[in-house]
Amino acid sequence: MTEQDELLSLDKPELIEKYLAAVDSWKRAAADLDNFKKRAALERKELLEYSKQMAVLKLIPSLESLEQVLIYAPNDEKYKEWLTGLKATIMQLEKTMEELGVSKIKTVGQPFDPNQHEAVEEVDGTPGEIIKELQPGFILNGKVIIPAKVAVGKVIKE
Amino acid sequence: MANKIIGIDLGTSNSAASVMEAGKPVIIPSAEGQTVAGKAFPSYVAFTKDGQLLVGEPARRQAVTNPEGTAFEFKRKMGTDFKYKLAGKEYAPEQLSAFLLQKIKKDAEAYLGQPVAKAVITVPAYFDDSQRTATKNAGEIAGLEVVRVINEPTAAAFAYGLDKTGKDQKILVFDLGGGTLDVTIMDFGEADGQATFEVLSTSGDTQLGGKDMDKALIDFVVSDFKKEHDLDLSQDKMAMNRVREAVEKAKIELSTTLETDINLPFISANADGPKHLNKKMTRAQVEELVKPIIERMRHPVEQALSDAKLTPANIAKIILVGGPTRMPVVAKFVEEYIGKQVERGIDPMEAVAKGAAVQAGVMSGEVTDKEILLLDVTPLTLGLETLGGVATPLIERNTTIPTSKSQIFSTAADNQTSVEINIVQGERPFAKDNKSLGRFHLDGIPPSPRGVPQVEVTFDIDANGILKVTAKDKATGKSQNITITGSSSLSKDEVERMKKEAEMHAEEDKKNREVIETRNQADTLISVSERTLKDAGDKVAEPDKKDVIDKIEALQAVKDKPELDAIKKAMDELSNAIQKVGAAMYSSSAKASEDKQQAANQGPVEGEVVDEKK
Repeated sequence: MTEQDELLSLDKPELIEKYLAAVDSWKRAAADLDNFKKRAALERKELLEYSKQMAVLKLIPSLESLEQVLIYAPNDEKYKEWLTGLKATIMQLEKTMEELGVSKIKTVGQPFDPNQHEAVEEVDGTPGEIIKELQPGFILNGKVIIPAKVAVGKVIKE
Repeated sequence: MANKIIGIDLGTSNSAASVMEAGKPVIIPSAEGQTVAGKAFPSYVAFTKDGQLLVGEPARRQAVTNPEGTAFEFKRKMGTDFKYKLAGKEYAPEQLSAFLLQKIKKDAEAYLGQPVAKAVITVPAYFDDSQRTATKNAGEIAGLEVVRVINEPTAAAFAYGLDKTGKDQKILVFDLGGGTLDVTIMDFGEADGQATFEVLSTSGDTQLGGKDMDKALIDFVVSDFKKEHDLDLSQDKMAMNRVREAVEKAKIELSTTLETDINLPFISANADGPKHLNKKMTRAQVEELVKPIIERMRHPVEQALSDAKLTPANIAKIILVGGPTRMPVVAKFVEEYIGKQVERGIDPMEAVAKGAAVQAGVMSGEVTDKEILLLDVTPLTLGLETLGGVATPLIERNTTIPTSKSQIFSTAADNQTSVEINIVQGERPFAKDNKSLGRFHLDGIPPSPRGVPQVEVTFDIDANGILKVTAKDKATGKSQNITITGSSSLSKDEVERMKKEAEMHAEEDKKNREVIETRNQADTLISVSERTLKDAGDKVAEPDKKDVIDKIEALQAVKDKPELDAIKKAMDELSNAIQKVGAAMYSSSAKASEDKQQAANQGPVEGEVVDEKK
């Protein structure tokens, strides 16, 4: 009860000062809590975005491997239907990613943009234009989560 | 509110920034955010052909197509007269650093939502006066007042709080970056209440780093594939890109596991058809591959020790800095050489920036704020003893105080008119293993069947840690309370001991608790069965009744023994017997008995206060 004794020994102006200080720190604490709540709500949203991002990042290597199959696919009538099925599977996966808010960064034929693309090499072709995609890039809700790795055109001197 | 001072680790390949938030340093994200393997701020500056300035990640991404317009590793030229020619104009290294600092400043302002005008910037311990001045100038050009330039290893030590130990000790900082190794030995001490730090020696290798280790691993995978398939992947940019990423991933995985797979289907093809890369990699294998690189680290460490005229035994603490030190083999090498464990707990990639932020916090007065409201927590769980000696928690440990919590309990026996509240503190599931803080009785509860009375128990801890426990009978409004002043008077050792004991006995306690819980269920089942028999009267055939009575007796005989299976078996048999009785009652007079059965089945509300000991 020492706190009470201390208060009883104070005069009025001191008490007022103490009271105001106490109210002030209480208001601050309440405000801190309120701010914390707002921030926590924001962070929950970010966390959701982040978990989507993680899911997409983990899926991408498999998508890449599937696309690799197309590159090395045999040009044979016998496998035509198999290839059609594979292409459809890839489309299925891409559609799922789109539903998650992910879109593929456009590459071949586009002008090179370091905000979305990463140049890995220069090859013969229209200067500044993307000639080949080495690895797909992705945008999640307007934010580049993986830049596309590309080969950029350049006039190669003989 | 005073403006924040940020801490900046202005690195050779990557930079990072950090700021104190609520007493702790946090890393400031770049506006682009972190990409898969991308660092916050790559130390790259570029001018595109049409004169646009790019800084950080976008500058790095276009370096290949614009080598004459891109500058990197300009930190190596700080303090020299060297001029970079970019897009036809000349730039001094401090100007290029200033572009980077400007970007960091802008992104920090966006993150903090307030202007940033001051910074603490780190430099290598071996930087001379002109290099330090150049760094300071870079800050001024970027519009940042550089309130202090500190050594990178000193900052790393700050991040670990080693300046606060108050002891005089020698610290070895092992900073392995992407392309450089810096070894620094420092002397931390205290003079006139002020922390002092002196660099005793520095050593290193400007051409040794994580990139060398990556290269060794990639080369191994590529040559192994060549041996097996006679195909050279190094000529295929797309394949190499996939290999590089897969190796990077495997390297990270092998920091925590002993074995992983590198699996890259359809990596290439030849006339025979597609080729797949599928390779098991073990940590031992990786360690063997990087061994020659690790060996090159021995000399700089030896050199630093001999320059400081010290032996490994003189080193009190080891701090690792830089991403590649995350590899267990690197930590192991340093630990074996010095004969001590490295400090852990801070991401080695963030240690320097965070330490700079700690220093910035000290300078802005944030770290020693005049009136910090210290919020206390309860060190141990507070609860009460319930039926069977179980400690039922009300306020879990680490709850911030002041706080209060209440829960409704009931009686354990029919016509019980008094309950005893035994307040216990500790992590063990049984009251007897915890510390009893006090006990009191609440009496005058109107006689009623077990589980019917509602006793509300409230635990309230004020800001001073004083615990007030109140028990109130909801029916009569009668209440009793006790105030315990010593609830947090346990010494630190006592708290630690109690936590350790709880961990040690966790398994055994769990088993005991299960027995008690089953026993409580057995008690409830017996009481329900007895009531059902009474209600049934002559509606049930004598043999069925006899069966239930036998089974009740059987359960009563085993229920107090510590044999879980026997109790469960007896309970099953009694449930079956009583179900038969229930079914018989339904068939004779469905409606009337059903109501009674339901009333009898009304179990305890939430838990039961321990029966008063007679």
